[in-house]
Amino acid sequence: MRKFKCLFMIMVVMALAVGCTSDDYIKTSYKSLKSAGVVYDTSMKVAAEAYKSGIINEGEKNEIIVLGQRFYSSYMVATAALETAENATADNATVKEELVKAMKDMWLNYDTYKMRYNAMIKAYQVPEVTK
Amino acid sequence: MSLTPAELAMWTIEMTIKYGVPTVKELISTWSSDTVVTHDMIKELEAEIKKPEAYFEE
Repeated sequence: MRKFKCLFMIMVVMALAVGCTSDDYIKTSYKSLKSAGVVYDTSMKVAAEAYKSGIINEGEKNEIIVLGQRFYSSYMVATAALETAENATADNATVKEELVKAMKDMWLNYDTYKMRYNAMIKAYQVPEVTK
Repeated sequence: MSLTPAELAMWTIEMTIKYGVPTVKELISTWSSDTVVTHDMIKELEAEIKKPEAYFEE
């Protein structure tokens, strides 16, 4: 049952993404994601350098990794949603096709999505999804 | 290892030159570009960042 709830929630997000599809939406989302990715990449590189130089200790490194995991999971989910939105067009048949494809993909890669979803909701203190 | 304030300042300047400048350039080029976003560009987003642990393993 929880598996379905998880899939349902992801589908709602996907449907919203598809519903908002337009050229501007795709472009703005892409730029936002790309910028967030660049900033994350730089921050992590600097943190790694700081760790190697002894400026931050093991505990601080682990805290950074936990925060980084939250960002990484959210980024990957957002990228997947944007990909689905980009595939869809205003044509309803294509939208339905894309939604079915996305659902099939999520079903086949359920473990990966569950992991991303759980990592994401951990940040908001929501109970995890279990099989 | 603890750094003196002067060493920390030098380290910050070094990091700004090494990572800050290229990052700002990349951000400016991202937002100023008016190219059409393709499927491949979106796929590339996934490959552009690594898992957080990977940065510390390098």
